[in-house]
Amino acid sequence: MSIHVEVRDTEKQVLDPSEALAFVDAPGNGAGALFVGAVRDFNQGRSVKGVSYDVFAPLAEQSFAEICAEAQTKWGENLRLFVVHGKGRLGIGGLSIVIAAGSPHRGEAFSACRYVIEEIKSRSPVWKQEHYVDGDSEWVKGHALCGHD
Amino acid sequence: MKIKIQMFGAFRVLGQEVELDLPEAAIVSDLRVALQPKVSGMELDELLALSKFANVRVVLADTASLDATEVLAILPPVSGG
Repeated sequence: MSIHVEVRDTEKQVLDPSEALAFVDAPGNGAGALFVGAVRDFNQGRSVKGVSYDVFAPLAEQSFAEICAEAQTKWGENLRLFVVHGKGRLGIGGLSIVIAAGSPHRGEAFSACRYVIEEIKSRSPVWKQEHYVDGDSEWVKGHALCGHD
Repeated sequence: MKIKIQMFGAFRVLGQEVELDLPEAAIVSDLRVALQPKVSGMELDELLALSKFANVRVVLADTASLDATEVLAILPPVSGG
């Protein structure tokens, strides 16, 4: 298998970038690109103390797999891809998503990694609720999905 | 038929899932209509209009038929990553 996709409960097991890079490593791959998403402490003028991630896991994993397959079509079947998205509550600095792409050359790895994160942000059924220092919480406004006929 | 819909994102305020009683010939767009009274006055009206419905494999078109044996979910606009 050249693709690994997963939704993981971060309260049981944290996300690990080294796991992602190890998966995409291969004798024929001279490049590995990594994207790591983390919870930051400030957004839209408000101080944030944490984020809860809600995920419709079966469909999310299916969408990750579809996106990765699209990336292989675009940048070659030698591409190895790893995607794990967190589910549950994270504090500041907690890792919410780790994506790695491995390929023979750097151009494909960078492009594929960027493609996968951008597509996930607009297509995958994941929602985040920010928790603020003042005690309030709010669901982040997102991208409306398209349905299939 | 009785349809259970899993709630996600801002719709979690309604619980883990909502059960609706719909005619046998109901389609996906009927879910939105049936949910309307449950979200009225909760600042979710606009979000409901922007939301889609899905099974575990695909986001459903509004014209798709419903299968009461399937796991269904409401998908408000997404914000992952």
